[in-house]
Amino acid sequence: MNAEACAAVARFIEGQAGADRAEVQAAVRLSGGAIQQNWRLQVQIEGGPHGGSHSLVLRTDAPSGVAASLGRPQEFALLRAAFDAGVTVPEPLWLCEDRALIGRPFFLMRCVAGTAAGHVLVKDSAWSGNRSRLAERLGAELARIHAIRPPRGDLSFLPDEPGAPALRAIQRFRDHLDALATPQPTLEWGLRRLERHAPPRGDTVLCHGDFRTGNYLVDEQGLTGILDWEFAAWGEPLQDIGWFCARCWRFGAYERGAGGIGPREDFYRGYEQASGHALDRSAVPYWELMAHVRWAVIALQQAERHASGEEPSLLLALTGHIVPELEHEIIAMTELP
Amino acid sequence: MIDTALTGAPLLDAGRILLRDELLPALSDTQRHAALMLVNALAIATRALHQGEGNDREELASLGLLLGRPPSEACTNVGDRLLSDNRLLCERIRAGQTDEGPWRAEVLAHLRATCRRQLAVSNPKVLAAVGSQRREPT
Repeated sequence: MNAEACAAVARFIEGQAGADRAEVQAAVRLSGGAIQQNWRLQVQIEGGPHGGSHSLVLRTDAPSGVAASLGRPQEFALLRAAFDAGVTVPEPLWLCEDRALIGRPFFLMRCVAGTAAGHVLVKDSAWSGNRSRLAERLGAELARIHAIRPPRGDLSFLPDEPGAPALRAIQRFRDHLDALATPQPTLEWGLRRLERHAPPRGDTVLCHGDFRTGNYLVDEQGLTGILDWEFAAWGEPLQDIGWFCARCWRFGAYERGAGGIGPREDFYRGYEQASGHALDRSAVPYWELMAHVRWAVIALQQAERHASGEEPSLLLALTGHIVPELEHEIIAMTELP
Repeated sequence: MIDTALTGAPLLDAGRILLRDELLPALSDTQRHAALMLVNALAIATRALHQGEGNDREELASLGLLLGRPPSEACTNVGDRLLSDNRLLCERIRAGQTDEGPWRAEVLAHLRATCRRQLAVSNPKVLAAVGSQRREPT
């Protein structure tokens, strides 16, 4: 962000915070985010209820961003709904939809400390406190997210589609596969299994859509924030649970079923205590298979962006090489008829 | 003529070793991450060159048996035939023809073998770990 953008953001904060004066003293681009850009801002506010020094994050679209499922205003509304429901998220502060300020919509939220790096979290317990407690806490957090249910005026941008969420997902993945250059028999095999055993529509809740290790922040004391809400949608609660527990999201710590960070039962217990109802454990493996197919489809789409010449990138190319490992797991999960 | 050890897989592998052993230790954390990706990419490319068309030909032969194509049928373009055979297999799986019966086991064996060949190029560690792989306690 150049000086002009920093000044524009400072004027915006003044108005929103009811301040006499605001100054962006530093702006540092945070790593990651091909679709969004995150900037850490050090902001000094004088006067008004927010007077003082603040560490904030400005989140906006990348200039050449791929069209994402949700825009910044929608993401801001989701963060607000989650924050109000008691979910541990960075507190969303102010949304600016006026493109005149920095050229793109943006919002500001409080900066939260910690690391999200999955391979670090599963290896080093210094970052995750008591593993069992972290797994339980994450279960409780997910239950709070799932307590948000339609209809919600503030989340009216989320479509409430009819039919069984499993069958909808299968159709979506098949459409994606049909659009790829190369046919994928093992994923078709997995999808056919999912189709034959698809559960009917159950409860409809707010699903985070990407609730997994790597998408939450942890410091030495424990969880500090749940991130990456751009895939949130009305859906089936077990979808998030299967995604979180799936072997492919354990960062090599395969023996710890709750996202590589703790025992699965601790995660389930946290979920059950916070939600107040029992979780059907026998229904989770179905959604873990779904998770592997979903991740494989996404990985193939990313690899195709490289292979087609649209976006040459070593990272995208290597993502394609994750697929055989996912297929290996899909085959293991479907050996028996 | 130039020695084959100076081109192709041996050349890539020499580059990978130089990167891993001499450059990597001197890099910052951010650069290290990028260099590790490069080491991985060079290793994949080296293994793929070693394989040559072997994987594709084995997959094609297996598909031919599954789909009942006469083995004598000549194939000039392996890539095109792989695409069309795999498309046909996909259609049949989607149509439910592998839900049960003897063909199910044959297709499963084919998928398993194909996956193992692809893993040998993309991520052989997975194959090495099979059997000794840490599993979740049940």
